[in-house]
Amino acid sequence: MILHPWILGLIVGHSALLLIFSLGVINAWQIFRGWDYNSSEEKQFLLEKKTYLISTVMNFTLFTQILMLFLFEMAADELADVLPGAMCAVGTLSSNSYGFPLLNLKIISGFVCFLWLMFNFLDNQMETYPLVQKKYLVLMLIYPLAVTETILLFMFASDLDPSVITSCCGSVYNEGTEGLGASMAGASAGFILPLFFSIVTLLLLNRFVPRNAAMRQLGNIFEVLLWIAFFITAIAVIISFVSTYVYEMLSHKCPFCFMGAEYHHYGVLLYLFLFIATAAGMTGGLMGRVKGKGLRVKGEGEALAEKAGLFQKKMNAVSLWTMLAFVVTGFLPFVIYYMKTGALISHQ
Amino acid sequence: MAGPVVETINVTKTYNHGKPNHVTALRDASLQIDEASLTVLKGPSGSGKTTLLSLIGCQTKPTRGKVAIMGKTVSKLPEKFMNLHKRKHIGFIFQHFQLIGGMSVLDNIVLPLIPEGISPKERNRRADRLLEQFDLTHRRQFKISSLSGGEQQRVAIARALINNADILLADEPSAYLDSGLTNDLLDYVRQLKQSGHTILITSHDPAVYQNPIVDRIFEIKDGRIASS
Repeated sequence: MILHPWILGLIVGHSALLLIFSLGVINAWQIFRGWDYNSSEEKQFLLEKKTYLISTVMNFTLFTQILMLFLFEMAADELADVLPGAMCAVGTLSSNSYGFPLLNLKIISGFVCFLWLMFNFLDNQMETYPLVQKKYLVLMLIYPLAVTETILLFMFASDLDPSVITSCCGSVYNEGTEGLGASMAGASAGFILPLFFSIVTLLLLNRFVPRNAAMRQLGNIFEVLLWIAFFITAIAVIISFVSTYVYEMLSHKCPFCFMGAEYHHYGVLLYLFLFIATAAGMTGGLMGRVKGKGLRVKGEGEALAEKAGLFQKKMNAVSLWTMLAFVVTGFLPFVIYYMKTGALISHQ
Repeated sequence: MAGPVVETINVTKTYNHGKPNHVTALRDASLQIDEASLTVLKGPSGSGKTTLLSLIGCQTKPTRGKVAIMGKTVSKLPEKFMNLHKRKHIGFIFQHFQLIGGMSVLDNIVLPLIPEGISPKERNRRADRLLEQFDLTHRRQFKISSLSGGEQQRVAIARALINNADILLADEPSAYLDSGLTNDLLDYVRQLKQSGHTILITSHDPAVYQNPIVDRIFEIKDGRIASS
C-alpha cells in the first residue's frame, strides 16, 4: 500500500460513508418491517420521526457517494505521479486487477444512488409517505454495492505497488492491444457514430411519439434501457472519436487525460453532462412507471401519479438538454479541427 | 364543513419519551369541536391544556392517537405539510402575545404571510383591513414596545387572523389582562365567532369560561379530559 494522502482520504471517506450507510440500513430495516401508515400507535409515530432522519442522512450519504466517483478519478490521476509508467489515471487503474472493476462499480453505484435520491425526493413531496417501504427496500439492496465498493477500494489500495511498472493510457487504449478499452479505441467511427445517433434518435422518438397507456408503460422501461445503451455508446464515442479530435492525434485515445488542467478540464464537463443526462433520463423513465402504477390506485395513488408526472417532465427536460450539451461539447473539438484544417483525422 | 372542525381521538403526549425524565402531559384525550363555536379548555396549571392546544395547533405531534383539523389527519402529516396546514387554517394568540417589540405594528401583523410568498402589496392590503377592524390604523407604524397592553392584545389577534385562519387558538389570553381588557377580548372573540371562526381558548379564568358566549367547556385534570 502507498500511504498517499489521496489513498488515505479515500479510505477514510469510504469507511465513514459505509459506517453511516450501515446505520442507515439498520434503521431502514426497522422502518421497512414495522411500517403501518394507518396506525396511530406510538411505534408508528416513532418510525415516522425516524424516516425523516434516515432519509435526510441517506441524502447526504448517497450524494457524497456520487461525489466519490469524481474524487476517485482525481485520486487516480494524482497517484499516477508515484507509479512508474503511469501517465494519467489509466496507469493507476491498470496497475492492479482491482482498479477498473472498482471504477465500473463506482459508475453503476453513482447511477443507482442518483435514482434513490430522486425517489426519496419524490416520496418527501408526498403527505402520506407512499414510497417509504419501497425506497428502504431499494436502499437495502444498494447496500451490498457500497460494501463491495469499500472492499474493492481496500484491495485496490493495498495492492498498489510503486516498484511495479504499470501501463500508460497509450497502451491500454490502443487498438493493437487486447481488452475492452482497446476494443473501444479500435471501434470504427463509421460504426460507432451511426449507432450512437440511432440511440439518440430512438430516445427522442420514444419520448415524443404519442402512444396509448399500455405502450407508454412499455416505453418507460424501454427508455431506461435506451439510456443505459446511450451511456455505453457515448463512452465508446468518446474513446474512439472525440478523443482523436481533442488530442488531434490518431494514436492517443485516452478518456482520462482530457480531464486534466492541460485540456482545461474539458473531460470533466463532458462526463458531467453525460452522467446527468443518463441519470436524469433513467429517472424520467422510472418516474413514468411510478406515474402509471399510481394512476391505478385512487386517492393517494392519483396524487403520487400527479407528482411523479411533474417530476418526470422535469427530469425529461434535464436529460434532453444535458444530452444536447453532451453532443455539442463532444463534437466541438471535431468541428473546430475541421474548421481549422478543412480535413478529417483518418479513421478506419 | 360537514363534521367537526377539530377532532382528537385518544391522544397521548409524552415529553422526553423513552428517557428516564419522561412526562406524560396528556392521556387518551378525545374531543370534537364544531364549526363557528367557542370552546374553552379549563383546568389548573400543568393539567395539559397547553399541550392539547399545541397538538391541535400543529405545533407538536402526539405520542399516540389522532388529531384531525378541517377533516385532515394532521398528526400523520410530515412536518413540512403539517406546517403548511397550520399556516393555512390556524391562527394562534399566545399567552404573552409573543410580538416583536422592535418592529412596527404593521410588520408584526404581516409576519405570518412572508413564508407564504404573498406580495407586499397584498400583505399591506390585508393588514390595513385588520388594522381598521381592530381600531389600530393610527398605530400602523408604531413600535410594539410603545403600545399599551390592550393595543398589543389587538395586534396579537390581528396577526392571528392575517392568514384568514378558520380556527383561532388562544392560550390563556386573559392571564395578564385586567378585567376591562378581558371584557374587550371577549367582545372581539364574540365578533370572530359571529363571523364564522372556530375558537378554542385555554383558561382557568372564570371571567372567560363562565361567559355566556362559550359553547362548550372541556375540563382537563392530570392530563385527562375529566368532563365536558
